Amino acid sequence: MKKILCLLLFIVLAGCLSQETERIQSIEDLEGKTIAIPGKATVQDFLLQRFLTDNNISVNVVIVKPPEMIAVMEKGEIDGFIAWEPYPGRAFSEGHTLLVTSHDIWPHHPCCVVAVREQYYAENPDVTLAVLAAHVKATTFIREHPEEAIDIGVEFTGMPRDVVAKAMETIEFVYEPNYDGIKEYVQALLDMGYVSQDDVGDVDTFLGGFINTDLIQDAVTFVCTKQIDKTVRIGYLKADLHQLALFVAKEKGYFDEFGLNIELYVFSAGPEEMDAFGSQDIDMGYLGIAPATTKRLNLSIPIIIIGGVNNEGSAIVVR
Amino acid sequence: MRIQKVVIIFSCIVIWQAIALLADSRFLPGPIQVGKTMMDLMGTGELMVHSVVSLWRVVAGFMVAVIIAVPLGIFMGWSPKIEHFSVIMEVIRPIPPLAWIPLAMLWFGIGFESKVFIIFIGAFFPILSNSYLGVQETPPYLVEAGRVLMATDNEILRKIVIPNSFPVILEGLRVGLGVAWMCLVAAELTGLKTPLGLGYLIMEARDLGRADIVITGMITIGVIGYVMNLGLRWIERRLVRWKSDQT
Repeated sequence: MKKILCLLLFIVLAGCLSQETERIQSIEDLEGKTIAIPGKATVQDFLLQRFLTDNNISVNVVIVKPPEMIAVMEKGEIDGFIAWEPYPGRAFSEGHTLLVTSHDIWPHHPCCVVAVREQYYAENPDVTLAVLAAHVKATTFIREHPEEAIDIGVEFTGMPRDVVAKAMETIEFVYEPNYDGIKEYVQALLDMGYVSQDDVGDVDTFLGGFINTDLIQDAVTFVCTKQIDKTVRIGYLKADLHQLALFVAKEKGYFDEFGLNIELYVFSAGPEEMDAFGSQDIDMGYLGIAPATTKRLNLSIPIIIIGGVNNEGSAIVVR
Repeated sequence: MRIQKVVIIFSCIVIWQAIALLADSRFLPGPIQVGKTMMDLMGTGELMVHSVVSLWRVVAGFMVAVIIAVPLGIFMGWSPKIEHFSVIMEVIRPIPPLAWIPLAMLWFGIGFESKVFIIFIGAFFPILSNSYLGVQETPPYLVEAGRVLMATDNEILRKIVIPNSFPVILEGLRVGLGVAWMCLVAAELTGLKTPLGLGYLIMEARDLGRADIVITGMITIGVIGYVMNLGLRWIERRLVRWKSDQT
């Protein structure tokens, strides 16, 4: 009997020890491990590729939707993941390790942007400008009142306050489109073979038509002289804390102030939201720059980037 | 007959190309562009790898469904006691295989097993209900004739009921196989440990906005499904030759 007990104890101890040695504690430990991304041509896909190249590491990349990442990691199916906040923040609060933030991979990298359908902008420049002005106001509010912004973030994501607070630490809320950063993305998308040189042509010429850097200046100085009284359909990503400004604008009544009637449409990832732009089911949207650029080029979906939403705000989490 | 089929397929391709030319949109690539993409993917061997991985998943899920559903259906049709359990089946049957995805991921993770599970769920019910119906609809005179000849219950089941219900069971297998392929894209939609498979190819192409690759994946699934269906029909013709002899 004693022998059996000793054997069992040995097995349990050996199991614990082997678990311990499997833990990833440094960047080098990632070699050969399985890491999940939210999808191809997402900002996180790009960030992981850049991180792996910079550190000369190769991993097995798999695709898992962010809401399922923590559960799949706890089952031992993956060793880590890269996702947008608040998922890394939530994993951290559940005892997992934040290995690197996207700030460490590429400081101040652009992430989510505000996009508008070309035709909608041509027909409704007043609405587009007013939405952007509300976005500027909301972003400024988040920067100036972080505590109140966290409360709205809790409501938006449905996650605990400590998780949202931790997640907010890594996100830079901005409203100006980051031209140089987006240019780097386009170059990377070309290098990764996701878009073709034939479609891009000269990068600066392409970006000249793709990014409007002037409208945001008008939005900053926007003064509402009369109520617009129009409806606009806006897409956003589910529980993506980067896009908090949209919810702050809604909660604080900034859209109402300008007489805008907002219809919100939720998507689980950027590529899906781009399809909705293509079918003209939404007029404006908050989404990642990588899917916006990829589908703008590959499917010729006519959208223009008119504002930034956030820089950074993603992280690699390991068990 | 063969020539007619070829003409129909060719006409469809011509109409498709005409619409694609008229639409002139990246949302609808024409057959020439899709054909080129298909050749490229075949040349690199990618399409073959995706197809083999998917085929293996479909066959595994389908086989598990056959092994469980056929005997269960036969016994449900044969034994009045087991038949009462059909109420549970009737409740589970209308649940779409897609609805099982979150649980499949929690129970089986993101590897091979969860994909097989989703395909199994899809194929299970058509096979089960056909096996059940096949047995239930055995003409009573055949069973009576067996009894007159002093056959035991076991012998009646093995030598009369099962062979007689074979055509209906095989029809269930064909439907089940079709549904198995339909579940494939759903099964490969999210969470893949091995990022391969035709469903994955389609979803990845969707993320990248490559409609030509999406259509290539769809056509490949269609062709493989068609060939497998032909195979089952061939087996059906060989196994139940007596049925056509009888009539």
